[in-house]
Amino acid sequence: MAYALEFDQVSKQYGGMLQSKPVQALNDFNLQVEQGEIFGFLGPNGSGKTTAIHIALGFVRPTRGSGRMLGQRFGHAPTRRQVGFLAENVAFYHLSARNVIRTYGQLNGMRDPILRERVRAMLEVFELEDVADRNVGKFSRGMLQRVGLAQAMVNDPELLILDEPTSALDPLVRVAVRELLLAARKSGKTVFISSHLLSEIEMICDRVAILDRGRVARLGKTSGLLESTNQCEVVVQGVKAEIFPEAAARDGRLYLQAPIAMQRAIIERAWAAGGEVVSVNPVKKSLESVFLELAATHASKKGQGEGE
Amino acid sequence: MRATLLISFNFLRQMRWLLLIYSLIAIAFGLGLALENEIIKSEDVEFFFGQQAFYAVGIATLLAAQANLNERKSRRILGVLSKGIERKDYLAGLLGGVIATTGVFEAGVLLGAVCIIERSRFSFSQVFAAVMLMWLSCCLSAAIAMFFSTFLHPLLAVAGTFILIGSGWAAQRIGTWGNAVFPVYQLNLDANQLLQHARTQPVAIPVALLEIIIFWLLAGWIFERRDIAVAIE
Repeated sequence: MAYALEFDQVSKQYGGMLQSKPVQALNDFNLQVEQGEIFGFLGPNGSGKTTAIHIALGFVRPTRGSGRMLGQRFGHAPTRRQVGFLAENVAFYHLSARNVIRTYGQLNGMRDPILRERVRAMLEVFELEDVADRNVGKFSRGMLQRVGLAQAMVNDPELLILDEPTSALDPLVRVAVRELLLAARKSGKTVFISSHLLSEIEMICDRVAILDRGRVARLGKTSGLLESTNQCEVVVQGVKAEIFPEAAARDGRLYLQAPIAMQRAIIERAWAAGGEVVSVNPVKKSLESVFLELAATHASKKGQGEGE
Repeated sequence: MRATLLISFNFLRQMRWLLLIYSLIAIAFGLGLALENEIIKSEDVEFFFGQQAFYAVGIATLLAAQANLNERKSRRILGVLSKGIERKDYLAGLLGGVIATTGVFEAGVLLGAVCIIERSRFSFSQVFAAVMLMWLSCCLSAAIAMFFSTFLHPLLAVAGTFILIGSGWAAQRIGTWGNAVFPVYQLNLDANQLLQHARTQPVAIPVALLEIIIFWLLAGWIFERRDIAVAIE
């Protein structure tokens, strides 16, 4: 199967010649993004997310390794015509919002009447109609981000690469963007999102990669990453709190978290006490907790390294 | 081609206020000369052209040397290149923008010169041809500066450009073959010769046109191999 994005042992080192200290942004980085999926790309600051995106788009050359975007080597300019890209801290020519979207469409090789129709549709989707003729130089960050998304999607791209796409958006527009991305997936497009808004990623991404110091530290289906392997939550009612002193009481029910191996014993204890088991579910982690676990591991490894 | 023109147009648009001021200065200078003197001496006209030629080459060099870095700093370049633009086409767009900007400035110089023509012995066609040569010298300066700016800081790119232009001037002083080397000075000298009905060096024109293309191709080749977004998260 052809991948939408494929990084093969990509490394990137900045500086190191005359500059004091080289920085290893990516280190034998491997990743495959399948066509038609929404892929979340996470990682703490400095983990190499933006560098990976810039390498894919050919803005930066890898020190080692190679990769392909939509079947073509990284940096192949004509392939970028099928890609929509939103950069972090986006900047545009100081034109009206309508003309910015139109200009970027023209740069993409689009022509009227299709271009005119797409510009109108983008202004509508991103709720920019009222400010369409205002200069983007006077826009707030959130408004600029909307214009950025509109220019990225104006050409109806096969692959959308979004670097922090919703960080400055209000909840209403965020919902609209989410729906747009889901609709894009439905029509077979690929979406690659780098974001710090973990709840957004959790909601829409099929797969997630978490980057740590230039390597993929976790990779998998979002649901798989979030599922805890050994914890379950048992909810019981009609039992005195003393029977389960470790439980949290809420609305006349007791909520217990315990290893899955203990599940049967807890249920039997509840029944023996004349209680009723309301539910038994595996505990699901949030993406945030997965992210924090990873950050904690990173910090402890760093501490050990410094100790040695 | 369309994308390149769009980039050029947007560059020109960004420079509109600066351009307006410089062009108005050129026009005002010509107008001032015309109002002050009933008969304008040829030395005054030559001084006017010499001064404007110096400004024009300076503006072209400075704009071209910093255009690339400005676009990178503002991160605007990312959005443009992401639309499938080749880097050499992007540079062509910026160079086209600088050439158009200096073209508008030279149009201002021409307007200033028109004010003087009636009270001097010069004809419009003479002045027009001189301004065209001055513009060509600006185009060459811009191409050289853009070439240097692909691998040097703008200040060093300006220095490098003036060294090359200076070497053309030095070579011209040493021997007759000098007009074949970076003929920025030679073209301005020819503009002056035209006003004096003296003999010019027509070879400077094709040499300049060829060098503009060579410097642009070299700049594109180098720029293709450079990282353009070096910010580390």
